[in-house]
Amino acid sequence: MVDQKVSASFRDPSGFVFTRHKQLYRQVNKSYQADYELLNETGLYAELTSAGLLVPHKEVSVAPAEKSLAYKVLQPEHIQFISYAYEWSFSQLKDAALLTLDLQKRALARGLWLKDATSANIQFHRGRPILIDSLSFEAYPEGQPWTAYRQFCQHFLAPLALMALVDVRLSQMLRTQLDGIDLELCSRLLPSGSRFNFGLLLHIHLHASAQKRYAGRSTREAATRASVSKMALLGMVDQLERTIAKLQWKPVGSAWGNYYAETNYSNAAEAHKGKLVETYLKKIKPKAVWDLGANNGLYSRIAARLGTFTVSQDYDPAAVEQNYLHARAEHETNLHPLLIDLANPSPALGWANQEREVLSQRGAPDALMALALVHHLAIGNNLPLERIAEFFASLAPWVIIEFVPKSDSQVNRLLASRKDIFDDYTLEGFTKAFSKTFKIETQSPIAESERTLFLLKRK
Amino acid sequence: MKLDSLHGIIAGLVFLPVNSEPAYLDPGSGSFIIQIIIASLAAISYAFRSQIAKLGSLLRRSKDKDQDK
Repeated sequence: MVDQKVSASFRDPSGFVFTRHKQLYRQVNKSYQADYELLNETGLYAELTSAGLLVPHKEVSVAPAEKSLAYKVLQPEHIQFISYAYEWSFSQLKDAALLTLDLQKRALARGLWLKDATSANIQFHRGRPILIDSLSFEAYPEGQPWTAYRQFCQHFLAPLALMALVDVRLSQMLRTQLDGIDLELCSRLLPSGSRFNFGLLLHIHLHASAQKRYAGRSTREAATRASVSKMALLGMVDQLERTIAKLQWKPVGSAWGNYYAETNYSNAAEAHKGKLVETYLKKIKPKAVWDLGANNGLYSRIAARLGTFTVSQDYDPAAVEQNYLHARAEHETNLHPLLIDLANPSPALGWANQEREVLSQRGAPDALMALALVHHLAIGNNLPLERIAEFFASLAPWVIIEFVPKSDSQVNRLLASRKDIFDDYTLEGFTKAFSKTFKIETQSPIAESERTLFLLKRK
Repeated sequence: MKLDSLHGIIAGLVFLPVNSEPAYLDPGSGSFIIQIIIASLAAISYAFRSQIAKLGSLLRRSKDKDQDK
């Protein structure tokens, strides 16, 4: 029996996650027994799981991974794909923030509260954000200020404020700042006008100066000087909620404007391409697909509608935002929009590089879709076609890939201001490079275009 | 108004000492203290809003009574 502790869960002494025979379990430690019982007895567990806000679990009778500490072992419902805050669009992070505050309010109403408020505890499950850590609650210590308040501001409010008021790409700071964005840094980066936003004045600017002022003082000393009533705490959570609800980011009137109107192919070509994608998908019947360079998810939805769980990735924050807003509005349950730069995908991060997993190890898709992408990689990023083929082969056994020739206006645009050093970038060159790792199952020209769609099978 | 004096007034006027249990997460002293200020403002605003709402409903009731006459 080989147990593997999941490193992302080691900080909280209440318990930890481990895998055994490819099954995921959560050990609850004896030290958390009283709080665990409270979660059930108060009805909070039932309320949150039936509302789809907390991942449900079963108590199982398998042997614990650390017997001396163990109180119970839980088996949580399977989450299909784990993603991190630096891979979310603005509204994904905002919805995760609002969920955290909703959980805090519901918990307080039943005499508990959230003892931590990290974005790593939230995942997207069936299209909606959900809390995955059922050990996040504890008995509410009447009168005490919220211990996870700083963490909440660092993980949610600070990046959302920076994305909304400075630049949406600042979400990438979360890649290096794993415990959220330092509030003093956030306060310096925000425009001075943000001090006129009452919520940001309190929770970022004054919060940052209080941290500086009281640095090094004991919290015990701080907490014995005064208390916060439950009503005041609820008022503060309400205030945070209103501050976050007011933060907006819309991909218009900026560099992102008109981006989506600029396609160069006809409706007939688009329809034919969709039809071909559907035919190929029906042939290979994948359970999980990663759509690389998915734009706003138009073709991902073909896979999703066929019942395939689809991770719809793009490097453009505006595309991912549109994709998520569409998925949310339509209640799509098996489509996961994700902000990924394929030329620099998310690495393994954190302590011993084990707290955040590298993208390529999170799930094993049966197929990739790479539509209107290869020219961006080969010409836009100078990546040799053979290397692209090898990378794709390392991810999935099947690939649906579109070749866009140099004569296409989109490729022309990439070559407009540079020397054409891509002699091998032809249909023949593409076929030759990909044939080293893949067998061509089918290929079809796309109607009313110069493009070709391939179905490839890994050798 | 300086943060310190604001804190002093609020802590002195409104709140009582409390015993705190250390958490596994470091809440940060500054984050604790700023909450006392923010939460008290929120409590005042909450109380104010509920008074306004109460007043509104009282006025509506008396207006309804007038109309009944």
